[in-house]
Amino acid sequence: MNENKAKKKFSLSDASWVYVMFGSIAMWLAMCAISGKFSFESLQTNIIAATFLAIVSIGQMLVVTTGKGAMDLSIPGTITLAAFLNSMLINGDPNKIVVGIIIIVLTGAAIGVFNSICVLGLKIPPMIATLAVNYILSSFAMMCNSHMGFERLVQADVLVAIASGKTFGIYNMIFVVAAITILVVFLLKKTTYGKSLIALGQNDLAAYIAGMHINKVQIFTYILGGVLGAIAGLLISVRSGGAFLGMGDDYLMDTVAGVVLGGTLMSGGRACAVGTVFGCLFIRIVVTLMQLAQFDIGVQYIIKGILIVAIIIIGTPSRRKTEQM
Amino acid sequence: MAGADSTVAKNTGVLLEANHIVKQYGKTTATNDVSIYINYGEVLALVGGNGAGKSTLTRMISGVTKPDSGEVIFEGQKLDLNTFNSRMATQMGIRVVYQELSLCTNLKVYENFYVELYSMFKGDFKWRKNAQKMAKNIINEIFPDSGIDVNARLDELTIAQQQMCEISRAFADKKLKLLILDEPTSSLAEEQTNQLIEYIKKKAKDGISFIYISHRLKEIIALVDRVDIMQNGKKIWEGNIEETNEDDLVLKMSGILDKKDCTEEEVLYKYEPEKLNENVYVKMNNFTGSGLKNVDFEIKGGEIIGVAGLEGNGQKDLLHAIFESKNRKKAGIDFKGSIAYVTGDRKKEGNFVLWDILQNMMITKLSFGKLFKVNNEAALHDDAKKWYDKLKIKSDGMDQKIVDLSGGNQQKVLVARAMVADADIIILDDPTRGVDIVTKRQIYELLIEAANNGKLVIFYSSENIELELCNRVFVMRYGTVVKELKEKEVVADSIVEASFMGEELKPVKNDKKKSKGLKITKSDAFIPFVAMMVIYAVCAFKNSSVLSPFGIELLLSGALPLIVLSLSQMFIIGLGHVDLGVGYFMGIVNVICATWLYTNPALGFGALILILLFYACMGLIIYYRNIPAVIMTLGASFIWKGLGITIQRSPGGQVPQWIQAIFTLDSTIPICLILAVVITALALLFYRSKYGTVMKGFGNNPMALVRSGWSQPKAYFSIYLTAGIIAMIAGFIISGISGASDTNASGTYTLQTICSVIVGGGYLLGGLVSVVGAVFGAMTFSLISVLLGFLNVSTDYVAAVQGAILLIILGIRAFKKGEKN
Repeated sequence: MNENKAKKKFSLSDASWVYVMFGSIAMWLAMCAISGKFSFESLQTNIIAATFLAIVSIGQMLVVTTGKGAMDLSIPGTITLAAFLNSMLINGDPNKIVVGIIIIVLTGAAIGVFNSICVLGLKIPPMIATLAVNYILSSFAMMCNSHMGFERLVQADVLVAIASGKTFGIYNMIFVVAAITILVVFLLKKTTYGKSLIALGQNDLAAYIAGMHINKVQIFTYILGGVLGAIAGLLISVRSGGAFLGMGDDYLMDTVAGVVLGGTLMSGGRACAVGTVFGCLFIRIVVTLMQLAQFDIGVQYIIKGILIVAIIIIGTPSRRKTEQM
Repeated sequence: MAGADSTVAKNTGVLLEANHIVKQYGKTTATNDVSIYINYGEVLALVGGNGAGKSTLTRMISGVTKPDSGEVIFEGQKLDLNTFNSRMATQMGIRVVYQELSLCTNLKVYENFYVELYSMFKGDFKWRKNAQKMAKNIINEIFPDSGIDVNARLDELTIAQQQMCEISRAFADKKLKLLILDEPTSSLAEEQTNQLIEYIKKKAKDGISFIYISHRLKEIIALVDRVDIMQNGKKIWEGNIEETNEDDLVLKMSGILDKKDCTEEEVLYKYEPEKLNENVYVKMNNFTGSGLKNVDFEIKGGEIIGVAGLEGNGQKDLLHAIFESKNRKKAGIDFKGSIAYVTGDRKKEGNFVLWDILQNMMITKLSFGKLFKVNNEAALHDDAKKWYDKLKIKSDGMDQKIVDLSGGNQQKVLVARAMVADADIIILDDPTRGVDIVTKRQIYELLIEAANNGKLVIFYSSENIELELCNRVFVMRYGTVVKELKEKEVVADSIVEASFMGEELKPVKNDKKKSKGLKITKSDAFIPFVAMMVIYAVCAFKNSSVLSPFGIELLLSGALPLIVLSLSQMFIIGLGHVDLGVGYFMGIVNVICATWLYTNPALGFGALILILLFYACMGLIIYYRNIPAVIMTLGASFIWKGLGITIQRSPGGQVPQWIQAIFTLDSTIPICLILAVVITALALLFYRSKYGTVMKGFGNNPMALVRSGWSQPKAYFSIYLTAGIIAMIAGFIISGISGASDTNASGTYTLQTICSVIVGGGYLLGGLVSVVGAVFGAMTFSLISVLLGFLNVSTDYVAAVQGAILLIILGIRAFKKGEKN
């Protein structure tokens, strides 16, 4: 029996993040080969770029895990809006940081609540609901944009220290992502919420029959997704030094790719936070590689699109198999 | 027709015989060496309790299910059971009217006749008219004054009317030789039931044979020639109807005659409560609702309560009502204690397939605690281990996946789930379905132990003999408890007897014809039309120039790309999918028009055909790989966008003269109006064509269409191809109007097309869409942008307004639906 246990430890489903990690390293080596120089700096640059993506992707992962093909398409709008709120509310003023952050986080939470009202209350398919919400959010961002002058270029020192600074030679963002990942892993593995979320994603009817509070679980999940999106938007704007329209748009596909690559099931019921983080790193390195190879931005879109479809096709059992189950 | 009838009538002797049919599902034997036969022009009744094997047997005769062994001989010819399928059965003249309806509710009555009987309409250009006539004639012949309008969409009919359609449709097949009716009268009123019986008798005289499955013994006595009684997958009695009567049938079905043969199944357990636990109870106080009527009882901890009755008479509704009152208080249900629900439908509502035994076992216990409670894994493990050992679950350990276990062991895990949770009230919903006798006994023992410990056990089983365990049994019929059996009265025979009681409770169907309003207001396009006109009027009020011909032309040319693209989206939504990349698809067509088509027409056309093919293949990928359409199309949207940017980095380019020329044609009627009308008409014609009707059906009930012999992958491919062609036309139009291309701008069209289809009366599920509605919806959305411009509202808000309108409409619908239920 013990032997069996040991074998299980290394099964694909539990440790798929190991593959992504090795994949990322392989990609990094490929990148070194292409650029002709071997440098840890380039890995670090990719890691830092991946950290911002990882924060949103973890939120996306939680929403995807609720099952039935759920996805949060309101992420781009959330990021952009949070970035504008940073410029408008904080605008580099250290005295306004606390209030500003609270408002941004609450905005993220409100977006989550609104999403879950649409999905649970109005019974709109998650994809459509969050798509519509995204349009509303980007309108808000446009509103902010037209009511704003040029003051948006200043960033608060504390926030800059978090988004770009280092401690003991390691980027602070790595600590932030590590903390968020540990928190989410803890939620998923140790709490009733985590178990309920995973159960819900596998079979919502069975989860209900087993007595779980499936509505509460979903509402909290959308809130968490919104909050993580807002935090990421804040940090992204701090790092890039401002806010501009459409700044969140590129993140949407990347979150999906990162989540799927990390071993999370698109159909729900299996989440892997560590895998998501490495999945994001992988995607960032692919993008850097494409940039290094001087691919046109259009080609980059095509490759990313094909990558997504291919990953999902490989990751989904075929029709015949599912019918047998 | 008369000639055909007489040739059938000439035939005598055996039409079909099925010999030594065996079918096993895992460890359960559905039919065990069953042999039946049916003569020409004979009506055979198949009766027996739930799970006796009647439905499985008929599924094998009609080619839906393959038997493990045995032979089927039809008209003297032995069938090759390896190749025999439902399509062949239909061609040979064997049809089934299933218990669950196999009609497409988004199609009209006569269209449903067409999609099933399509081989009778080959090369028929007036098929609509003929199908209407056929439907009308046969329905009137069987069910005079049924009130069915064959031009009505099926979802406008009552359930009873739908059932009449399904029955009539089977009779409309001129090749019909054997008709199997599985509970055909379950939702028919008495009058129609009698009409059906008379009609079957008449047709039997013409030589058609019938297998009639029903729990309504009165009907059987009135109708059939011969009866086969089945029990537990075996035929236990056969004889002519004259040899028996209603009471005799009940006695025979309860299996008294053959009890000696199945001692294995006999329950050796009998529970008598010693002491009731007053702290745990469920009180139903004349409760009505959720499928139940005037249910009134009080049950307490320490009892084992049986819930019995013929399948589908409210037993499950009762269990669910009690369980649901845990989350939402219901007037008339009062309870005390924690509740756990053990289902027998392991696959659908029990197993968590990705989890091991341990996690499957402890989940209910977790859900009794706070949502963010940090759980002590070690303690949970020990709790689960206790029950794992006690139930002797056969596995490699508690870390084995639940799906790797046998059905019986899976069931033990589900029972253990309630035991680990230590619930006060344990509801069991047919927990021994497909479970072996040893496991069954273990479960009985466990229930007795739980009751002795003061717990309240509510036990529903489809096998009456099991319920002999209980100290009280409630027998249900039509949502009401018709009989309460106590202590010594609790024997299988009395349960069966009571199950047939309460025939007078049958709900009176109100088949009142719905009040018909003006026909035009009932049209799907009416509301979107009104919405469009209202917004147009407001626009005119703000700026009267929109009323001038030039103004109209300007509005139309602005709206035309959206109108056409919405029609493309409509076909996809009609399938129950959504295309999240349609905007960028139009964008790439636009780009190719403005670049390659100008510089190198051959390359341009080649590229267009290639992307169209890829678009159509998305349908196949979605079908074969079983991936959600939204993800596929979202991924594709990036490919379209990337292609667009690659071919042309920044907006601009040059569209060939001939495309632009179309839009600068000098004509008295605005060219955009002509185009809009022509394309709408084409889309309408397409959906009204034979295959278009089938495609529409696939958005609603693909199973039924596959059973009728249509190919699902072909349909998916055709629908995506159609949508792709229309989206391509939209790309040409936007090129012609703008004279250049802009990939990024086309992305915003996606949401607008979805909005237009939804506003135009479309539903995201169920294949309900309207061509004209979508067109009006698209015009409405275009006008909204214009109006916002007139009102000096910044363009920033346009997307927000559109998104909000979509959410509001879907919200209102959800609200209305909730009111209806």
